[in-house]
Order: sequence, then C-alpha cells, then structure tokens
Amino acid sequence: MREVQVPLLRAEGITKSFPGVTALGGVDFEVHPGEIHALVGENGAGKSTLVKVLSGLHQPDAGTISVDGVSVGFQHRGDAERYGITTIHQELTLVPELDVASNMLLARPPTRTGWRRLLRVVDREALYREAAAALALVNAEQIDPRARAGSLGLSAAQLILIARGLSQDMRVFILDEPTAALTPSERDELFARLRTLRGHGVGIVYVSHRLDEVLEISDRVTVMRDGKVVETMPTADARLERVIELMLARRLEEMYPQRRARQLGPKVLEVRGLRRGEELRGIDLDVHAGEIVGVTGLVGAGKTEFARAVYGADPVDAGTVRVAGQERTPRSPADGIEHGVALVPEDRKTQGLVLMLSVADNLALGVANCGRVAGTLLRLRQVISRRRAGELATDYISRFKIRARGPEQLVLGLSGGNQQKVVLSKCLATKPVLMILDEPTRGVDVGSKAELYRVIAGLADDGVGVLMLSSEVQEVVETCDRIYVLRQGRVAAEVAGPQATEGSLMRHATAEASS
Amino acid sequence: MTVTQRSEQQAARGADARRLTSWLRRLRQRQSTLSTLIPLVLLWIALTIASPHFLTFDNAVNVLLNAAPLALIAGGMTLALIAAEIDLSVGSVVALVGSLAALLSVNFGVPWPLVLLGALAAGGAVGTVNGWFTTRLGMPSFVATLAMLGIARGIALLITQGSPIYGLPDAIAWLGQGDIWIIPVPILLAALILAALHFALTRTRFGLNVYAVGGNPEAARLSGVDVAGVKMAVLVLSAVLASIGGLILAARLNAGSGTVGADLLLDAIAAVVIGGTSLLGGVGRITGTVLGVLLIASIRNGLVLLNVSAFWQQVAIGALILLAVSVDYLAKGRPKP
Repeated sequence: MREVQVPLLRAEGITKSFPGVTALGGVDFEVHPGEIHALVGENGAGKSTLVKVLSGLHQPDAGTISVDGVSVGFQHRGDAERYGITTIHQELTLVPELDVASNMLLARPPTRTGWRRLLRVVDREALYREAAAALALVNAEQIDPRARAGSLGLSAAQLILIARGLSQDMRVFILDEPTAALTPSERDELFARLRTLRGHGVGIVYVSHRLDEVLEISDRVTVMRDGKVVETMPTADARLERVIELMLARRLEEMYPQRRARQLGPKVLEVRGLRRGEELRGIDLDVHAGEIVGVTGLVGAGKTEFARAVYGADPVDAGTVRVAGQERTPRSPADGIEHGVALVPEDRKTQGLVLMLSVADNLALGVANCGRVAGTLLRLRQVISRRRAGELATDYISRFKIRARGPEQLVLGLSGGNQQKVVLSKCLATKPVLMILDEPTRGVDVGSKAELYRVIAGLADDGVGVLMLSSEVQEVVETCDRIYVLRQGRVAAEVAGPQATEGSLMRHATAEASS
Repeated sequence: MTVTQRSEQQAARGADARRLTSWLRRLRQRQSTLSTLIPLVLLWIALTIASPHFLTFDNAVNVLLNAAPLALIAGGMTLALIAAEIDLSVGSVVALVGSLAALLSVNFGVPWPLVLLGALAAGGAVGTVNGWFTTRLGMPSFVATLAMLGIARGIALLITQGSPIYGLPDAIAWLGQGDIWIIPVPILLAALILAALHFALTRTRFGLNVYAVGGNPEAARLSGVDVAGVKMAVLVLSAVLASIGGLILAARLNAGSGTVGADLLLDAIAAVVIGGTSLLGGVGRITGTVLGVLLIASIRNGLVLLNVSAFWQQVAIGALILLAVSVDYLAKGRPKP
C-alpha cells in the first residue's frame, strides 16, 4: 500500500533563485521506498537545480526537505549523504588522481586499530577489501580497486559511485542524466542494476530528458517546466505524446521555425580527411553558403573535437580544410577568425564569455581581435571607441531581444539563454562566412531555445554557412538542411534533413560494431 | 507618424538610454572606488587634526615623492594581477637596476643616456625571462618570479659588493631630485605613467585583452587573443616599471644599493589589493591602486610625524589590508561554501 507509506524523501515548496532567473518556484516532489521516480523536463526546466537541492549542493531560498517524515536541513553534500542520499551528478564527482577504493571510501576510510586509530591512519588492506566487496555488490568485480579513477571510462565511474552509495547504506539514489554518455548495452546493464536496487527498497530518482528510457524504467513520472512541477503521474498512465506536450507546453511546429528550401551558394567549408589522434579518424564534410548542416552523434563521437579542429582551437594530424574555396587549415583560433570562421563553443561560461566583463566588452573583445572587422571599432589599431562598442552592443541587444539592463551589464548576471545570445552576437559581429555552433541550446530555457532557432535560421537566410553540432537529435532533425552522423570519429551517415527521423539518426549513431 | 520620425524618436530614446546607463556605470565605479577613498579621506582628516605638520604643501610633496616608486611598481603589479599573473621580482629589480646604473656610471664612466638605456634594458630582460618561463614552459609566474626575486637580488648584491655605490651623474640624479616648474620629477613621471596605464586598461584593445586573459583565458584564446603574448607583455611591463622605480629611488639616494626595495614588493601587492584588484584575475583598476598607494604612503608618513614606532607601521598596513578587502567581500556577499 504505497499510499499510506511515509515517503523516504519529500521536498515541499522548494524555491531557488539565481541572479537573473528563478530556477525553482515552489516545487513539491517525493520518492517512496522501492520506487523509481522519473523527473523529466526540457533543458532549463529546473531538474538539475532540484537535484542539487535534494543532494545538499544548493540551499533552497524557501521550502522544506524531509526524510522519513522528519524535516531536515542540508548545509552541504555530506549532510545529505549522512541520511543515505547518494547522488550521481551530470558531472561525475570522482577525484581522478586517487585510486578507485580511495574514491569510494573518501568520506569514511577504515582506520587501523590501537594507537594508530587516534591518528586516523588508513588501513589500506581493509580499504581495498571493503571497496572490492562493494564493487561485488553491483557485479563489477572486473574493476580493480587499485586503478586510478581517472583512467576509467564513464560507465565504470558510474558503477563506482553506485557501489560507493551502497557501501554507505544508501536509501535514496539520485541519478542526473546517467545515460547521456553510455552505449545501449551499458545502459541496459545500468537499468538491470537499478531494478535490483529497487527490489532492495531503495528509492530512486531518475532524471533524464530521454523519454523512451524514462517510460521503460520508472514507476512514476514527474514533469517539470520553467521551474515548476506540471504533473506527476504513474508511468502506466503516461503516454509519450502527453509527456512531450506537458514538457514543451507548445507544439513542435511552434518550437522550430518553418522549414523552407534555401538558395544554396558556393561551398564555404570543405573538409577532407581530417584526422586527430583517436578522436577524428578521417572526416569529409561540406557546408554551402546559406545552408544549415547538422552534425550529431553520441558523446565521444568526435563532434566537439571536429568543431575545434576546423576552428583552429586544436591542432590536427592530417587533412585539409578549405574555407570559402581557399586552402586554409587554421593553426590557431586567431587564424580561423581571420579566415571568416566563427565558433560558438560548447560551454559558454568557460569558453565563450568573460563573465566579469560587460556585454559591450565581450562583443568588443571579439571584434577588436578580428583583423577583418577591427577597423570598425578601433582607432590606431588599439584605441577602442567606447561609443561604437556601446552602439554595437545596443544593436545586438535589441536585435536578439537580449534581456540585459544595457550594454554595460556584466554577462555574469544574465540567464543561460541570454548569455548564449551574447556569444552568438560576439561571433556574428566578426561577420563570418561560416558559423560553427557547438551544442548551441544546451542549458537554455525553452523560450530562448525557440528564439535561438529563429536566429540560426535567419543567419542561413542571410547567406552564412551554418554548421550545428548537437547531441539533441530532435533539434538537428527539425532545423538542419543536411545532417552528418558521427560515430567513433568517422562519418557514419549523411542524410538530407527532410528525410531524417530521430530513430534513423539514433540507429546510425549507436550501431555497434556489427561488422 | 512617418516611419523616419519614429525611427528618429527611437534613436533619440536609445541615445538617452545609453547616456543614462553610462552615467550609472560611472556612478557604480565611483562607488566601489569609494571604499578606498573614504578611509583615505578619514585618515587625512585624522592626521590633520593629530599633527600640525601633516596638511602642509611640503609634507604633501614629501608623501607623493615617497609614493612615486611604489606607485610605478603597483601600477605594473595591477596589470599582472588583472591578467591572473603575479610578479614577485619587482623589489629585486629595483635594487638590480639602481646598482647597475651606479656601477656603469661610477665605475665605468658610461655616459648617462647609455646608462639609462642599459638600466631599462636590464629590467626588460628580467621581465622577458619571467615571461618566457611563464608562457613557454607554463610555469606559474609565482614560481618563476620567486626564483627571479632571488637571482636579481643576488646579482645586485654582487655588483655592489654589499655596500652602496655613491655618486650618480647629475642627469640621472635629476630623475629623483629635479623639479619641473614646482613639481618634482618623480611625481610627474609617476602621474604620467599611471595615467597612461589607466588609459591602456580602459580604452585599448590591449587593456581589454588583459582583462579577458585574466578573467577567462580559454574564452580569450577562442576569441583570437594571443594569450601568451598578453602575459609576456604584462610581465615585461611590470619589470620595466619596476626599473623606472629603481632609477628614481637610486637617484633620490644618489647611490645604487643592493639592499633597497625589499619592502616594495609587499607594499605594492598591498596597495593593489586595497584598491580592489582581485588576486584571481580579471578584475581591477588603476584608480583603485593609486588610492591604495596614497593610503599606504599617508600612513607611513603620518606615523612618522606622530613619532610612532616603525614597527607599528607594519601592523597598521596589515590591518588596513584586512579592513579594505573585508569591505569588498562583505559588499559581494558571503561566498558559497
């Protein structure tokens, strides 16, 4: 009788704001023992923030969290772990330089007995013994407790974290996008383990935006949108279309701009046999002026590596890159920019923007360091015209509806979607012939997403060649004129946009070495 | 209303909005400079009340004269810290350059223009070596310049054999003792150079790149900035500015000494930090640094006027750092654990 049970973990009225955004606005959420409760929603819906609140990484502005019906306050991670709440975040939290066993028992290493106990001398034998026992619990005997954590793959790292949770009397297990980087067979293994855990009475919170997986594994589904819970329902009653509708609150055709045949110009990018270590193993790819070309594939397929190599951010081993018909294999980002290539990098905060500078200064940074257009901003090649920098920023702020107080606002205070628009503006201000967008809508709220798609379509209409790299298959299918699927550093398929479906692209992306 | 009328109106509104935001920005900047300006003014008022000698023209000139070498070094340090680097060798460069200038002119009779050139070149060379290890080998500048702190100091002591070399030519002594109209040369020199640094940081591509490299080196690189070049430039600039400071100091003492300048390093870092520059890079201002320098120089001067032991000066400056930086952190709110 689940209805009369006290939930293992319950959150009530959780509110959390960050500068510029309300990430959570009064969220209720609970998980019972022996239940897999899925949490779904678009990027920016507030899933990860809720997870961080439940695991003690963020303190809520308002609302309560209770464990076994008793209200608790988490000041930091350790507090949540003491209550048996283990979390696997999107960014895995292992110390790469330590070995597997030390990572698993970092918080409570076994100590020697006698006087050595006073000094907390670690009993290394016991450490490895306990780690091996915990790994055996998840049938992962093949992982060596003495191996360096950094040397292991992603799925092994997940196993270590699961085993760590079990070794700490885990009662609630929270997984944030655990399958993003797993192969299908690794995913099936993970699911088998989760079902075993459920059988042992562990309450599992499963966060994902892969709806097929969610419907397969969960008992209940909670849909979030714009920082609020829209609905919680038993998975048995949930249908895929219904969940998507709840998540998006708008139909797909409103989300994506109308597809239309564009006038293609000459080739602006021609890549032949591009190689770089194990990551890129000979890639051929073309982009025409006025065309939106999508590149998709699993994490590790080589998308980001490809973008960076074409831009000049990383050196290549072999291959040629022709930009606008001229042989121009860039050796540095400055080279790429000079040749008319612009990159919206994967991570806007660590690669795209200087957060402590204003919108105007970030745009000026891009323009002043691009020789082709620097003259519009600089006098004597050095002195920045503040007036023109301000005008440039004001121009883009109104053009892309960037919600900033003005050109002098620090980009630190902008929301993810608006920051992304600043990165885009900064790139556009260099008047590129080829625009590379690496995961352009990652961590962007749904509203900004629709606006970004329109901006991207507008770029292509203006004759810019657009190369969009994304692991969100749906957005590639809906926005691109032509699509390349990468697998293990090679082009696995090239599909015309109108003919592409999510299913066919995923099959190309995941087809395991069958030959 | 026609379309052109409307767009004109919009343009006018846009211009109004721009004027308003730039005014707000200036106000905000002034406000954060206030956290240094207010203690400085309070200190001046207190010292004026406590000592009849403080608020006199001669004493004001004296404070500024003493502050000039520190101001130059702190100016260079500001650039280095904004670029998320640090230069620990400045105090030793001061001694090295002063000693070298004295050695060349006194022991070898080299004409003064060549002495000046040689001295600045030596400073530039030290900066280049610092920059080389930092940018080519990827060594933290803390380590590279820490090593240089020892090397430059040692060479200065070797040159002077441990005792000062007296008797610089008049042309060099003028750098420390001369006046232009009624303004002493060191004050003029420091003011001009700091104004130039302020302009470079706020109005030029180089300045913007310095902030970008310190704030987010990867974003700077992907924006086409020559990150290594910028780091090299700030470390060379820091050493050259320290050299000018060293020449002024030697000129004022009329001697090259291997032991001077050791306290300048920590005073410079203190002044820069008091002025609101972040040790983490990406944030900072020359105006703040100037106020920080004036604060330190005023405290030193005031405590001497009041006959307080020199040991108390160190306590006072240490307390000042804690106070000034606490204000900045309190204003920002408590950091996340």
